[in-house]
Amino acid sequence: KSHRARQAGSKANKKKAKKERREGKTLAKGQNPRAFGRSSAGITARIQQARKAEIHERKLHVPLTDRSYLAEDPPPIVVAVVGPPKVGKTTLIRSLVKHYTRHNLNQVLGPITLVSGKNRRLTIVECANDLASMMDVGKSADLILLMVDGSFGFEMETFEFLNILQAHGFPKILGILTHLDHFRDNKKLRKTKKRMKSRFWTEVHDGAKLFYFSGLEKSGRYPKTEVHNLARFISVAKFRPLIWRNHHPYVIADRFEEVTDPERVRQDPRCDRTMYLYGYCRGTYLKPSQRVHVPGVGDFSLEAVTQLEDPCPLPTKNGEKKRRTLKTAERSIYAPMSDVSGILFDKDATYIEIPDKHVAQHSAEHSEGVQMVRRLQDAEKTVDERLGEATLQLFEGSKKITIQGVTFAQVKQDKDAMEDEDEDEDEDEDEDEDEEQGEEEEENEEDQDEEEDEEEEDEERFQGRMRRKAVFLDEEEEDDDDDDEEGTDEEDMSEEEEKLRNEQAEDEEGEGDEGEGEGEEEEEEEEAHSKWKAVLGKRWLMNARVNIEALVYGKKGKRKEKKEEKARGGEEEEGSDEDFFKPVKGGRKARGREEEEEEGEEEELDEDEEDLTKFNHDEEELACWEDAKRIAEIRRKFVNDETDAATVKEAFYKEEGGKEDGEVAYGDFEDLETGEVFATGMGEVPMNVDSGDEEEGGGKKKKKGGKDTVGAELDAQKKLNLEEFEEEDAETRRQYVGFTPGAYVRVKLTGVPCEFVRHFDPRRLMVVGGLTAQEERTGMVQVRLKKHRWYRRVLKNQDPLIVSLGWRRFQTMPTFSLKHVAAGEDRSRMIKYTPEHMHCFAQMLAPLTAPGTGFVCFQSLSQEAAGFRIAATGVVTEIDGGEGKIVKKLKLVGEPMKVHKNTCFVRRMFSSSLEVAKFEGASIRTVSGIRGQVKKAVKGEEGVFRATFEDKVLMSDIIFLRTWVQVHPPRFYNPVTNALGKFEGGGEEGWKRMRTVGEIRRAKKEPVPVNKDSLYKPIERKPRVFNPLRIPRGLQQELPFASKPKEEKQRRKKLYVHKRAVVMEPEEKRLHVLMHKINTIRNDKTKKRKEADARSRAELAKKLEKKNESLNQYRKDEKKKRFRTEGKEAAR
Amino acid sequence: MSKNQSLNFKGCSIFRYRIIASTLTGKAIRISDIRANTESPGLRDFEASFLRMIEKLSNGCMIEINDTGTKMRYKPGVLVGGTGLEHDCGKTRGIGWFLEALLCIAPFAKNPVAITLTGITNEETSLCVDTLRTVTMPLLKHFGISEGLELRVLKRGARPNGGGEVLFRCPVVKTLKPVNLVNIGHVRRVRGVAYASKVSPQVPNRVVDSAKSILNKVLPDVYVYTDHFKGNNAGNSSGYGVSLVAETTNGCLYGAEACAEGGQIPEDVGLIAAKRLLQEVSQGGFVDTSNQGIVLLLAVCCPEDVSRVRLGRLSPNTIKLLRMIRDVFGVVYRIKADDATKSLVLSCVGVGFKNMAKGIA
Repeated sequence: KSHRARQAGSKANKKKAKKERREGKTLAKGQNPRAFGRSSAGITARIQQARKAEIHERKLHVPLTDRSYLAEDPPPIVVAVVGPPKVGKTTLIRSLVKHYTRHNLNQVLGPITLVSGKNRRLTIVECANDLASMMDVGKSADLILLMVDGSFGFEMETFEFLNILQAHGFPKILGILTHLDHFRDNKKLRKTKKRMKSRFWTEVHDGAKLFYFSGLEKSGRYPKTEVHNLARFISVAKFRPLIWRNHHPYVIADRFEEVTDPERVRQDPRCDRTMYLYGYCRGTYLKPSQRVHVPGVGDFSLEAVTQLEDPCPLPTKNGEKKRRTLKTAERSIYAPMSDVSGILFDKDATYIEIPDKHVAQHSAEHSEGVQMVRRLQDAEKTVDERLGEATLQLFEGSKKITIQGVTFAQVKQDKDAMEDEDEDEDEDEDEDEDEEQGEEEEENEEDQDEEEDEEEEDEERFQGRMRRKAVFLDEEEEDDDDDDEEGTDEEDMSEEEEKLRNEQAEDEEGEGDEGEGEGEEEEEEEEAHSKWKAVLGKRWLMNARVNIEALVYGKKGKRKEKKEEKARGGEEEEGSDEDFFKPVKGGRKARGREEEEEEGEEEELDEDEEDLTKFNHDEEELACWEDAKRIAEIRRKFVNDETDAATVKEAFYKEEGGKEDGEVAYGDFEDLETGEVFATGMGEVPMNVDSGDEEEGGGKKKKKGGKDTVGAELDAQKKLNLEEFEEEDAETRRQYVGFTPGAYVRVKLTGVPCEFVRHFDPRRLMVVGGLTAQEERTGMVQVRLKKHRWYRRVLKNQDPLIVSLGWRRFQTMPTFSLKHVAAGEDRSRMIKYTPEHMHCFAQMLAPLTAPGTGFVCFQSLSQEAAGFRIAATGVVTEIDGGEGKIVKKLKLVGEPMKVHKNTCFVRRMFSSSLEVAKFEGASIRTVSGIRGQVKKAVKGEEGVFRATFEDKVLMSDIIFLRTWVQVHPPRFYNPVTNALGKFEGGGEEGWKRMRTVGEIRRAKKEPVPVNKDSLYKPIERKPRVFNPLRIPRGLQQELPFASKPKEEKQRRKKLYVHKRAVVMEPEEKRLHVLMHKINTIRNDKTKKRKEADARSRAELAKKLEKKNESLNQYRKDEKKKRFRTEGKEAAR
Repeated sequence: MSKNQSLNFKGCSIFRYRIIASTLTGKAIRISDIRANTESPGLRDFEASFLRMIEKLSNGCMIEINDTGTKMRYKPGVLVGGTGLEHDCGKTRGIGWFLEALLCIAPFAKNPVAITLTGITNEETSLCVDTLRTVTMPLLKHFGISEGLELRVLKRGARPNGGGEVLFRCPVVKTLKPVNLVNIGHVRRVRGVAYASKVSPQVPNRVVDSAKSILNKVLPDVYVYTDHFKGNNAGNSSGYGVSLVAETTNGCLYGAEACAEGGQIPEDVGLIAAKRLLQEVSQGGFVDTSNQGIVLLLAVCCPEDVSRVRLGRLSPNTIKLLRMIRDVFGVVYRIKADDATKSLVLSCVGVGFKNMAKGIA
């Protein structure tokens, strides 16, 4: 037993005091606090203070919305195992599965969901080595297990993947180094580990966890302890909320089922398919009517969403005493495509593998049951058809009764009987049905005894059958219907009844029997409006408590159908049977508004009523306010002498529904005027503070400042979000909020291209990403984009580029531009290539996505591309309905036709006077720099205009007009549909991308076209000869002397002065010679000095050159470093 | 993606809200049978004017109307907004009719909106600008739209010739704040404006007196300002009326207004307004009947959080709006009747709406 330190007493006090003294919290006795305080005002203190403040500031941030609390049971965490091939991904998954579930997995296909702890589940997916898969994983995975082959080092894919992650929100990453057993040399191993870790840290973040996996065990899995260690890190991993996923629902499909009518497929093998996708709902609420995008396939409307029973539930918490570990039974695994425990779900079938030894081989003689089944299989007609043909004669000579004449009750009974028969025979279908029923049915429940259950069962059978097309005439409708498990059982029943009756009615040419007892619901509906009238009369609308929603939204069960119909276009609305059975309403206009309000069935309201929101009450209604009694009644709603504080308070709680008893109500009442009165800790009351009083309460809170207020508001909202619909049952709640994250849902998609089904491969991750209403359309999107610094080439303007943005990936043609803010102008100028180290803007046709969403670009997704494939990354800055204003420079060139003083007539700039008219007042310039202005077009001569200049222009001058012309970005949008091709591990299997101009030229072996005019030629400039200035003699004479030309004419004959001989005196001669000598000596000296100087200068230059060289190298390195950090900064 | 089906509607009811919803969600709509069975079928001038206003505010929208005007197609663009805009609202509908719609879309524009609207400022069929200023605009504060929201009445204009002018400014927001407008409290004061243009300055005083004669029976704190316009600012026609606002301890506002029509005496106008106010208070919603639509629409355009609002009586327009919201946004309101107070509590989860037009940086 270890020593227990004293918690109290003198010894403890002494120790505590000592500790404090050591830490400097308290001073020793007798010490002067001034002497031992921190040396204040010093520069270090200030620096420290600033640093502290900076760190504090940096920690503050606007809290991100985290919607993970919405889920009752959080959805399984998506763990993606990513890495190049042969790195050990499958081995890792198998090791993890074995670790968590003691299960040996034969093959890893599709997502594997398993329970990893008491309150955590994992969905493990394997990421293939192509870019498309990486994108999907990057968008949907919560935790990445990044595997790197230690013996080889990092591969390009790893870096590409990391960059994709950065653009789509960075999920948590755990690195795993494998193949470390290949190292013989321990030192080398150590060094490699260190090197790879530092590289990993620079790529992810400092301190990122990296695991080292040594070799394999005999079992073909990683060593137990290592896997265990990894599993522990997975189990405690925390996740930052990612913005995109907190605003979009998504489903990672772990099962796929095609439900297209086989007959249709037979007739047209290329027809669009219908399919079900199964998976956990993640992100936010999935709305049943939502549009979704399936990456690699396309956009769809959710045809139907059904919540199913969780196939891999968390262990139940209640009832059990606390356990540290999971029971073996609770370690469930769900991997429908991976062949777990012998059950394999394929796209069109379910296979159950039974080992040979368990199968008892029977002889050819079949048992009675089997024979019956065979007989049924051989039947030419379905039971219903036969039933329809069957007749019954009660009395001789009487009319034969056919099915058409039988009421629903009878039909139903018959059906029940049939169902019972089938029940015994259809045992092999049970799996399927269990899936579908999931919602209502407990798995292991025997469901024969209770009536209700039987009904349920009935229905399910009904549905199950329908899918296989046997029972009813109109199959398409039925199929839709069975997805409609939204309505309660009763309503479903009534719907079916109705349908049945409709069919009958059709058969009988509108004889329209109403049935006996069962038709009640229907009747109710038909006569709704008259009933409502009668019931409501003059009562307030809100008194009809139960039916208030029905009044607004119409009948519950119908709601969804209607919605779909409307969404689809509603053209068939007029012709639908429902309307046929409704009484035609006439004279709507005659009725007053009041009446209309009271009958509230759908479509009751006048569609041509004027759109006036101002509500003027009726005269009669207002007349009651003459009555003193009414006024006395309403006095309690006002603050006056009658209502003192206490009554106000009391009344308030009464208003709240009388939940609180009086004692509490009088609890903490403070002040009436401020509105803070009700800010107690009761029920919904605190919410009141947030919204109710912005002026007072809000103001006060703001003073407290920043984060706390925001946090409190978020908390209050969170509470409200959780509590508001709590009391509703699951199905009703779903209708208001949609499917909560964590629900296991089945999603029906129609119109899926047949290629998807044909080339379906479970190794491909299937994500169903929900779209918000605004994200459905495409438009011009402005983005800020930067060429990736590792990409070899710069990107050419308007070359096709594959972009992964939001859920989608597509090819588009961005037009690059740079913002020029000069002299008050704000224009985006088109650029021909992306800048090398800078951000630029780009305008492209893309799905409208919220500004701030990151994206990543590629030129090609194929594996063949050498080098780094990510061409650029960026972020959406703006969306624009029209084309943005990207411009390029345009110079119009003209030449003078006639020159007056400052006026010049210019031709060949425009071709018509209309064009001139557009440019009137524009400034023009000559090459020589004379500025001018366009004035007016010259009549008669098309395109010629008058212009004025600040000086006289020459006829030889060229006049040009600088202007800007708008560039129209090409409207090209090509969704990447790689999932429509065979899965081969390439990025763009089923999809053909548009080639870049360069690629096309290379393929066609065409040279780059050269514009001759754009080539640089040596400029030939003839020396200009100016004529001499001649001043007429007469003028010359009159000029003042100063202005007279002084030069004399060159004489032909020399003058005497030049011709005479000069003879020196001896003395003179001596002097001359001496001077000559001195000069010679001096010249020699100067020459020598100059030579020496030149030599030393050359030496110096050499030296300098050397020095510069190293300096330049240093500068270059510095520059590179700076750009790198800047780039990183910008990318952050 | 390009095969986005458009939503179909019939008739001219809640025309503005349909256009607004379409603009906000970006879904194209088609409206058919617009007044098809009436003597003068098709879109009216005010509706056309409304579409023109939307066109001014947005970039890239497409409007197609058939020859008779009974069918129209609207493909929304991106709301751009901007300052210095002008729009003539015509003489068939008040400025309030246009402003109501503007209040719903202007916060979601790319740039802050400043628009001058000319036409009729006060009339009986649509909300007058005073009520919008004092009741509806403070309501937007609950949604987090406050700074820079302004409505200034530059000129009054009454029926039939209008001539009024208002300046409307609205900031842009990234997202709205979810609201919880449930607890009403007690009415603690009543304020109001009695306005008049081109009539005797005594008229508004008479209106005020008559309104106070009823209201003072229930509340001592009643103060109604008088606002008399003359000369150039009084518009082209004469008229007067009153707009009252009741404010509760919890900051909920009820508006009631009355505008003089031919043959009415000022006392009657004041009485009617006061009675309407009492009626609104007695119905006990957090917002008055005329403003239900705006609150319900904006609550849907919130982040994916629960918004709650207490309403008194649902007007037929509101019911239609609720259905339209369900069809366009896919949001169904939970409507809970509160028997104790005879009111309804409507709650919904927002669609996670973001102002996409607003750029970053």
